[in-house]
Formats: sequence, structure tokens, C-alpha cells
Amino acid sequence: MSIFLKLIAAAFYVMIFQNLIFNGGYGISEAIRMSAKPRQLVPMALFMTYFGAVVSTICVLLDSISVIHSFNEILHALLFMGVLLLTYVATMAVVLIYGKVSPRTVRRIGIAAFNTLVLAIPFINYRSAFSVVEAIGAGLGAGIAYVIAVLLINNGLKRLDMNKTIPPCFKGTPSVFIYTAILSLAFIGISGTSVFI
Amino acid sequence: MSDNSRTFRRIRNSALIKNPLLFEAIGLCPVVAIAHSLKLSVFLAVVTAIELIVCEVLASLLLKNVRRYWRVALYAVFGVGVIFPIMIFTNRFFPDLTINFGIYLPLMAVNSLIALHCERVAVKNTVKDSLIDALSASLSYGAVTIIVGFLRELFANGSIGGISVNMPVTFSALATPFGGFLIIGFAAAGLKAFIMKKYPDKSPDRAFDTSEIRRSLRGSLKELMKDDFDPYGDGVNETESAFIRVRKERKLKAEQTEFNTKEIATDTETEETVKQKSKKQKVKKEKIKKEKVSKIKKQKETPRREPRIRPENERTYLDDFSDMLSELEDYKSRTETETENIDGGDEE
Repeated sequence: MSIFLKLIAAAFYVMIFQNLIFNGGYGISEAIRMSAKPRQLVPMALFMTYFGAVVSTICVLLDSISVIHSFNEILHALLFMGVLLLTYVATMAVVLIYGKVSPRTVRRIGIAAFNTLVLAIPFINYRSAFSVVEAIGAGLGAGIAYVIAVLLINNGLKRLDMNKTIPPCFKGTPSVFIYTAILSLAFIGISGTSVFI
Repeated sequence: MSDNSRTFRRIRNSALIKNPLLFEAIGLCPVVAIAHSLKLSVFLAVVTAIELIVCEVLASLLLKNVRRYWRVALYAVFGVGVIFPIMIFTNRFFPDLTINFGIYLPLMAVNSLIALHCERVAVKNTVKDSLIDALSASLSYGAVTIIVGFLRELFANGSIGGISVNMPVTFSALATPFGGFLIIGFAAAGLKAFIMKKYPDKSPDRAFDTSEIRRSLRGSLKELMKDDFDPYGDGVNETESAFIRVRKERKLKAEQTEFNTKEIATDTETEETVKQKSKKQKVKKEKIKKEKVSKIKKQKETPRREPRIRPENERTYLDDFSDMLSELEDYKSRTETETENIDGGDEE
């Protein structure tokens, strides 16, 4: 039970209390661009969750080795990047050999793997000294955080697109950024950071 | 068109109309999170410029014949190759910068700006073109980053480059990602107003394609897997003809009007109608196919006509022609004898 609670707590931490996308800006470019093409959300979010969970778990397991644990931050960064690269190569090899996936989907895997959101998770695990269960929770939470961010921005984009009172120079990305700023402020409020002092 | 004007157009497009940060929403992560002071933003701009130039040149030189799914990984490898020496350098000589940057410096190895520009420009063009693109993109990205950092530091901390300015009020929330998004939003609006005034025929909206925004989020996973998706794509093509653009705009308008009138209709209903339409089309196609097949069968089944037997007394055009020839010959012989008679009479 405690393992399950740990997993949920880590997922909620990454998803809501310290939302990686709105509080940290990780993967915000992918989220904004995805919100304009919402039909692709499900596979993209699945791939991101997969890479996030797998990479963070492997990194935590490797970090439990004493030699690797004694590495400095630069070597840790190299290790995380290496694990991400190897995970991507292994996934691609499996997909290309056994999977009957369209070439478009294959291309999508690359975008889902190499982004700041996926690579940030092992760093957060390392800094927060997460266990394996918490690392899995963080990976899953990051995927859900991404879905939440895309849905919120997409909803706002729809309304902004329909609104005819917006001045022409604010139409498009300017209004999206200002709307995202308000969302970010809301999540900063949830995290408990004081911003008006 | 001369090379200089073409280069100028490319730089203008990359820096203004397709500004990566303001209109394409790419490479936002480090700017939003850490560009909250002038010093940090200048460092960020320099690191991004170095990374972009090196990666684009390498991609243009080495990755033209590599498959796309391996290229994406190799961009990250190039990024690591550039970022890690910088990390070691800053760690030794500017430790305060390393502390301020935190995990964002290694994360820049997978910056979406690098992947997009390498994929869109470097692997399709020469080294020179890639270099021009990298320079213009890094300049525009750096300029926006520095402006954002300057404004955030001024309004959040009341200082410029660490030197305090007597600001009557400071707004510390601008140092958070909220402030980053807000200032980027207003900067984008300002630049868009300038473009609309100076280049009225150019629209920066094309860099951020929102034509699919109202599509349903639901649908089977299988369908989604088959769809094309390229978040690093160009959006609407800059070089497309006016005719296609007008058609697309009309289609969009029609979709908008439909959406306004049918707001009450749920997403599932629209999906059902689409399915019904596709079914009807399929049935029509099958009918047409069947008709064609049956026609061909009929043609095969019907016996070929036997050649008609001409009755003996029937005249053909050949008979007429031979009659005409014989008449001509008679006429010629008659005229020749008449002339001979006339000539003979004269001589006598």
C-alpha cells in the first residue's frame, strides 16, 4: 500500500504541486504546438510517458550503484543523456524489427523522446533523491502533466480563435502566450510560491 | 533575383516573420525558466547560438543521407557534444552561472530549436545556406531572449545587469515562468504589429498553424496512429501558390461558420456523420466498379460481327473512281486528237 501511495504522491508532485510544464517550463514548446494539433495527443502522450518512466527508472537504478552515485553533476547529466539515447535506440530497434507501425509513427517517437520534459525527469529524481517507485510515479505524472497542459492550452486556443474582439496583432501566438502565462500563474499559486512580495 | 536579396529575404523571414521564439513557439523552455536577468539571458543567447551553428553545419555536412528517425537522435548527440564542453568551462570559470542555470544547461542539448532548424533547413540545403539560417535564427532568438531578460530583471528586481535602478515598484512574479510568458506574449504582439505595418502581405500566423484546432480529441488510437503529424513542420508552406492559399482560407472560413452554427452538436455526432459520409462514398465507388466490370463482361460475351458480304451488283467508291479515271483518259485522248487536227490544218 505504501508503495502505491509513494507512486501516487510522486505523480501528483510532478503533475500538480510542481507542474513541470507550467512551473518549470519543461516541454512547453511541445505542449503549445501540440495544443494546435490535438488529435495527435494520445500517441504523443503515451510515448512521452513511456520514455519518461523508463528513462527515470533506469537512471535511478543506475544511481544506486555506488560508483555512479559518486559522479558529479556533469557526469550525471552525461549518464542521463546516454540512457535516453540508448532507450531510444532500443525502442526504435524493437519497433523497426517487430512492430508494424507506420513510418509517421516512427518519426513521432523521436520527437516524444528528445525533449526537455523527458530529460528533466531523471534530473528531478536525482535532486529529490527519489526511489525506484517514486521515479516511476514521476515518469507517469510527467506524461499526465503533459496531457493536462495540452488540454488546457487547447481549450483556451479554441476560445481565443473564436473571439473576434481580440486586436489583430494579439491573434495567434501572442494571445496563446498571455493565456499560458495566466495558467502558469495559477499553477505557481497551487505550488505555494509567493509571487507578490 | 540576386544572391544578396535572396539572402536578405531568408534572414528577414527567419528573424522576423518566422521568429522561432515569438511566432513558432520553439525553444521556450530555457527562456521562460531562466532568462530572468540580463546576464543569464546573454549567456543563454550565446550558448544557443553556438549550439545552433555547430549542429546545423554538422547536420548539413553529415546527415543528408541518414534516415530521419536516426537523425533526431544524432541532433541530440551533437547537442551533447556542444553543451558538455560549455558546462565544464562554466563550471570552472563561472560557477555562479552553473548554479543559476541548474539543470537547464544540460537540457539545452535537446532544445527543440536545434532539432527543428536542422530538420527543416540543414539536411535539405548546402552548408552555406544552413550557416545563414543558423546565424539569422540565433540572432533573432538571442535578441528576444536578451530583451526578455532585461525587462524581467528591471521590473522584477529593479536592476539592470546587477546594478540596482531606483524603480518605484517591483513585481517579483515576473521572475517566474509567468513573467516569461507574459513578456514574450507582449513582445510577439509588438513584433506582429510591426510586421503588419511594414510587410502587410506577410503573415506571421502561418508559422503557427491552428487549422486543426477544432478537431475532436476523441477517436480510436488506430486512426490517430495513421494520421500525419509533424510538430516541427513548417505550418503552412511559405511558397505555396495564391490559389491554394485562397482555397485553404475559404475552407477554413466555411469550417468556422459551420462550427458557429453547430456549436450544440457534440463531437461524437460529427464523427458519426464523417463515418456515414465515408461509408456512402465507399458504396458509390463499389457501384461504379461493379458497373465497369459488368460492361467489360458484356462486351466479352457478345459475339463479334461477321464481315458483311457485299452483293455483286453493289457499287463501291473504287468502282466510281475507276469510272472517273477512264472518263478523264477519254477526254484527254479526244482533246489531243482535236489539237493535232487543228495544227495539221494550219501547216497546210
